[in-house]
Amino acid sequence: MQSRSGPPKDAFMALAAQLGFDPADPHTEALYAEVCLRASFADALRPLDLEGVDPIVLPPRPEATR
Amino acid sequence: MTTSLTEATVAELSRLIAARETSPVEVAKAHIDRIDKVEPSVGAFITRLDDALMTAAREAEREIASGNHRGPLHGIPYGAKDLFWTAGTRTTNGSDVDRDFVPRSNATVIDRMSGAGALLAGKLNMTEYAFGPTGENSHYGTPRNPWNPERLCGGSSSGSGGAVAARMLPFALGTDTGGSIRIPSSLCGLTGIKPTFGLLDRGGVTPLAWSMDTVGPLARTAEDAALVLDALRGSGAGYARGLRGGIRGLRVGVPEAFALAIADPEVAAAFRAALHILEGLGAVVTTAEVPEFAHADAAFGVTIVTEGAAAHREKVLREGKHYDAPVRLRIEAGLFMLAESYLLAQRFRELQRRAMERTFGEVDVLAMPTTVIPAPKPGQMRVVVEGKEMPLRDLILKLTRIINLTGHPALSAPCGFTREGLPIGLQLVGRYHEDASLLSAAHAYQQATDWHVRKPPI
Repeated sequence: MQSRSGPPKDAFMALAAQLGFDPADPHTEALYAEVCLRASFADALRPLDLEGVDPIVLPPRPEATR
Repeated sequence: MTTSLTEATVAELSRLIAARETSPVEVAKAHIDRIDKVEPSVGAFITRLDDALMTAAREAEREIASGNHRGPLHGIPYGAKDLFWTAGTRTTNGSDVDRDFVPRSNATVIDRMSGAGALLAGKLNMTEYAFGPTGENSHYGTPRNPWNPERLCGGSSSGSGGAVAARMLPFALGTDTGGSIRIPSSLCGLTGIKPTFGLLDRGGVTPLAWSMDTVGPLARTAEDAALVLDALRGSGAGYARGLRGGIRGLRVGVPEAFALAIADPEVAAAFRAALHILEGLGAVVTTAEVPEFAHADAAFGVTIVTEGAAAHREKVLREGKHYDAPVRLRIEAGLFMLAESYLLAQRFRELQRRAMERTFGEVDVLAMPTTVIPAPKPGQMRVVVEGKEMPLRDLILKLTRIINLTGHPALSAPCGFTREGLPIGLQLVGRYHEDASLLSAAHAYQQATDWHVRKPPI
């Protein structure tokens, strides 16, 4: 079981290379850390009870609330 | 006269112009003189428009002299964060990539300002692409806080905050995706409002996160913010007219456990003192916790990078090396977010919206500090509060980004100063489309306090 949030590093590097990132560039390593951080945010939401809750998508516009 | 014109609020300038006690040309000259004097030590502007300002001021003067006074903003200079598109004038978005971008059309709100007779004096510095809360910018320099040049203005509307606080402009336009109007308002001692999401048109505003980006004014007083909001909304909005009522009976809820869990003691003390003032004005202050706030940072962190990546994909993949490094990383990270994660965050937003609607059944407004710390220093990454070290970015955004998730209106008004002389902000959050209630509450507060009239030493 994966303990760290985010994609496995080799999977990330493969996808990053497809987008034009150089796997040998230290920036790509830093990007992997940022991606894992952001994935951890999503993981923090998973335990919440969201049964019956649809995505908000956009907050109500004026005509929807007046 | 020059000094007093730059010290005057929008409302005062408007009265002086209407009474022919000054003219738009005199007002424009006074502000250009002030900009000449203090801009080198603030760095609020990316592009100054002195010649265009004087030309527009002379035209406004002719119009008013001929009896065509368009309203309270006619002949008043202002500045716009440099992500509002301005036809024929470069719009850099605070980025080196867009250094030479010259839009063919104006943002809708720029046209609204022109229609109201306001005079654009310049394009203002900002965090690159509005993606960051401190206002630091490696391309155009980082604006210095007029209250202390060793401190930041906050961002992302950093130039808007710095210019208005330094009396270079009577008001400015900014945008707020996670706090970018309220944070610089708080750190610079200003009154700024993030209106209800969707209230103001965002046409011609470079996007960061479509579901949270909001346009609004930064000004010195709630009255001025109301006057600008009136002009941005168009005729009949009536925010300024509605300020006369008091706040007797207003139910003010404080999410104390969340808002004050970690807060600079001076900020917490100023906030509690502000609550006492509100009580003295007749408000009823109670505790109103919203437990969902504890998870809002996660939902915000997923949403902003995913939408930011969607908005910037082509540009960041092509020009990423020219972005500020932290901004680049945040945007690029969004390219790797799962759609499922994004939708999970959006489901959480609905959960929080429901919780806030329940809370707004029991109270009329929520109150909390705008930022739990005063203005930080350039380059500062971490901050120690009550012995606990925290990432600066998390702390400075903590109480503002939670409101962008749901789109409720929120306002920041000055409520005190630290012993070092740094401003502290009071944040008020209201029900959807009750922006007027926030402005009225802040106006009532400002009739009983003088924090908003204090001048920075610059």
